[in-house]
Amino acid sequence: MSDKIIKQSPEWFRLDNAGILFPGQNTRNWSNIFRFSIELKEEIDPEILKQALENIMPRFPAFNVRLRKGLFWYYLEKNPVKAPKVSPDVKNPCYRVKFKESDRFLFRVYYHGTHIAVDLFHAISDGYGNSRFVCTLAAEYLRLKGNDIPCGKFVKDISQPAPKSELVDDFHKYATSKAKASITDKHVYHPQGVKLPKHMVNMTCGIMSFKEVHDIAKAKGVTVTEFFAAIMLDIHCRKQLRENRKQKEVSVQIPINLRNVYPSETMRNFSICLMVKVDPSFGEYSFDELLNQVAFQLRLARDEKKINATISKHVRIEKNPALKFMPLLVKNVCLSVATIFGAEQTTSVYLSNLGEVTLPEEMVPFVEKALFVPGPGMRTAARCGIVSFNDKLVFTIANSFKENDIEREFFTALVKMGIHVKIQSNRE
Amino acid sequence: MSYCVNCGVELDATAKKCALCDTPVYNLSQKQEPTNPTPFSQVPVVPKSIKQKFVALIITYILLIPNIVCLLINIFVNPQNLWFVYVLSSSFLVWVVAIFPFFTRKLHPYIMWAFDTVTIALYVFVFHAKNLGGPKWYLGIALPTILIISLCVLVYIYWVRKRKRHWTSKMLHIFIDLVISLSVLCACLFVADHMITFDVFVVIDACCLALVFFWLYSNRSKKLRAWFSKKLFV
Repeated sequence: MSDKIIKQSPEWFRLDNAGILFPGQNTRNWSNIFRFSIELKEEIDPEILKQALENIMPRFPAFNVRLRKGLFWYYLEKNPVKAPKVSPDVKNPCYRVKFKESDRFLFRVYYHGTHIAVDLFHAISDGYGNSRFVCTLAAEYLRLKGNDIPCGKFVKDISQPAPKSELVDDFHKYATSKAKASITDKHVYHPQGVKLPKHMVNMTCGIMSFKEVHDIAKAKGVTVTEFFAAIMLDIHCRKQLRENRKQKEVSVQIPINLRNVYPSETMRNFSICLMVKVDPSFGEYSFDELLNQVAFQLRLARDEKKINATISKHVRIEKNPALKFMPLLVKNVCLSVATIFGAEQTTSVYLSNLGEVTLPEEMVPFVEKALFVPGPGMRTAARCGIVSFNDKLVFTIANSFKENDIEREFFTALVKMGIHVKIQSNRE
Repeated sequence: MSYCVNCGVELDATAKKCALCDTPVYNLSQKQEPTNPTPFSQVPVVPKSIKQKFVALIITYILLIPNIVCLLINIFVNPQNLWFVYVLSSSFLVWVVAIFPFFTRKLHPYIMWAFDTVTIALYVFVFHAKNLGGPKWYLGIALPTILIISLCVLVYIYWVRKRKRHWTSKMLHIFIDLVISLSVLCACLFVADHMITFDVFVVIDACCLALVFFWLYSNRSKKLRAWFSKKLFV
């Protein structure tokens, strides 16, 4: 069956509309990469994990690829190697990707204690795709250990070939708007601090009850994402005041899953980032005012027509003949310069909520929790990932600065609101 | 199960201190289990990067090629005129200033600057001494100016390394150094009777002196310093 699936998967395909940016932005020190990890209740056996990975790879043609250079664009080509190596985990997750390393795969699989983690280069998929991949890997691992785990929810059926709809670039499919969306933004506040050595990142996870957080957020009339975004805005506004410098706008970038807006099943990138911002020059905002600001701005930005206008704008840029026929080398130089001067200039905080991981009932007793770690930023200090499983919400802050005042203020703010928080970190 | 007395968060069983405030964990009732794995790996991976020394060595070899070619052409085509020396001195200057630091990254900055000064003095001697007035021009104007500029840079390096300075204070120091160097150059030009060049450098020197007073005032006035920090914020 596996052979049949391999034959059916395409030999090469184009990068999706969001993914075309990331290879050009890649440097020796930084890549757009993120981690999804799942914690089981028993120690991971690397040999079985390797076998499980080889078994599931044919089901994920979007992952079974290597990046190649064309004259005008990068493209993804089927990787002749069966699967990447499975390695012991490292202290610094999400370090840079080199396209020729690890048999040219664009993701790395790690294990540590009871964890299975996958660091994925954003050019091939987003959090939705990575979470499905890791959950399917964990399910296959448990099957090989002798458990009977069915498919369903986040676990894909590896006995069936991947449907074509999983490989489609849905940005092109749904970009139908003729409206002109503006994508220019002001430069915003970035916290100052001492950078960690290259490739290092401080990862701090706060484990809490989803119900406790949800109840507090609901009492304030906002969603969990809006609640966390407001806390982050509050912390950054106060930090900027303490730093006693020119008061700039503070913004939170929140990616949203477009599969919730459009009927899409794609395993490739299909999300866009919305921006919520406050301007401290209007005066000091109380926490309740920030909650209102976040809730109003986010709900206004989630309008389908506005989203369509934005993705249509991105697609139009990609289809622009001048850009299309520009040699890849020139594109890369332009993109590198734009990345150096413009990357994350409009973002103070990055906050991504993957939502709830749902697994087949038979698998739930074997899984402890899930973890989502955004890669370190170039300018932003706090890059936050949220994921919940079985009433366990894990809020992770990946910080490339030595200072941990943002983490401290964030988690102590939750404790003050009566939420029980357990902290785990890779800091020594 | 330990809690941080400072932050109020629960800590991992393997934590020796709070990850948020560094408060150490003293939980006498908790059994020590050294075999318990930490929640995250403690083994960092530092990806291999291109070795700077290796790149510097390759550039050195590449730089040698035109020198050898020029030497051979000079020997066989026009042995009377040693124009090859110009190519060699230029290459040597580039090598000492731009490539040599990659071979010896731990070399003290003062020694490094001393090397650079000697090389620049040699380069000016080889390249310009003959065309711009011979040993008199070199010893009378060029060498004193190079030595004074070099000394100013050394003082500046010492001053910057000593403690962290505000950038307006750094600018003030740069302009003081410039005024001193240009004054020495003007004096040398006056002695050597290069009056047209002397006039030009006196004007530049006067401008620099005016800027010294400007930066001196900016450095002392708290209000102006704050205004600069606000307007020229990066």
